[in-house]
Amino acid sequence: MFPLYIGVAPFALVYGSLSASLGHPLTESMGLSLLVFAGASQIAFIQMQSDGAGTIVTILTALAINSRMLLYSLALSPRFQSLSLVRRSLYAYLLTDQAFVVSSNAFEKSSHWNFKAQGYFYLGAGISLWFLWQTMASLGWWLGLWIPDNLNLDFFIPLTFLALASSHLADPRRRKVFIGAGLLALVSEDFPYHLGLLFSMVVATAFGWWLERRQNV
Amino acid sequence: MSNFWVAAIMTGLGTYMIRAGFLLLKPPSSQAFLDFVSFIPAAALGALVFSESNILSETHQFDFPRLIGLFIGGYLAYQTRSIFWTFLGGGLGLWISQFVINYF
Repeated sequence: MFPLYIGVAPFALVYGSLSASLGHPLTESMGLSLLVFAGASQIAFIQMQSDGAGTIVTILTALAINSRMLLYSLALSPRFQSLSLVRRSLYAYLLTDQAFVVSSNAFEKSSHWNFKAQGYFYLGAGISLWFLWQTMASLGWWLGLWIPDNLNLDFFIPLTFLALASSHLADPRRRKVFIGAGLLALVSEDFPYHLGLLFSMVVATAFGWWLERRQNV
Repeated sequence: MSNFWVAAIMTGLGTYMIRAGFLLLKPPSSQAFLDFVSFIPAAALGALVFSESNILSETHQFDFPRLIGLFIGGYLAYQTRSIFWTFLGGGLGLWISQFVINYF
């Protein structure tokens, strides 16, 4: 878990300090963090709110960013189907990139664990990440004004995504989708209401789906 | 209630529904659907990396320190799959190239 904490802590600090620098009070910054608990979408959300984007566009963009969690949910569901509804409901709230990645790796390495043990591992990972995120985000908010701009801490956000994306890049079709989405995001940066991000994700996903279908024909 | 809180609550609910979807319900079995959603993470991450890194300024000029940091971070991420090395390489790449460009 420790390397993931190294990645999560500055990410949360960046979120906290960014929300402070954009003029969001602590209640808004931490309220969003408690309600959503998904770093990338929170950052997009506060930036779009500060840029004056529409409410619907902000919500749709944040949900588009978080839509990758649908896949994590799909991948984890066979392991947790036998657990109680209450427990699965809690697990859903704690589902993040990091909790999914670290749990999936652990489940593969420890195939003798039963579903209950796997559930406890996931719960431990999820709760520790939750506490770390909320603590560092609030710390980032307090320290925000004292973090020098030329440190460019915001740059650690795409670096985190890069590290998370590395597992997808081994597959050539996903590599094409990744690069295609990135180039489209650059080209469509001037789209109003940050719609370029949503546009590039949808088009690149459809492109990947088309590649998959073409290969299967 | 302000627009911020309406949007935050709706985003929180929507995100929870995305997370809970397959954990609480039975996943759909349509292969076409599964194929489609399997590309969403790569597309989302690609779009986020390039848009959040701000390698293009408002005047559409490349920000070279960020470009260098992103390139080094990308190379290390691909080679090591480690958040730590990606952070270290990308961060140092950005700071050193920023220092060199500003100094000279």
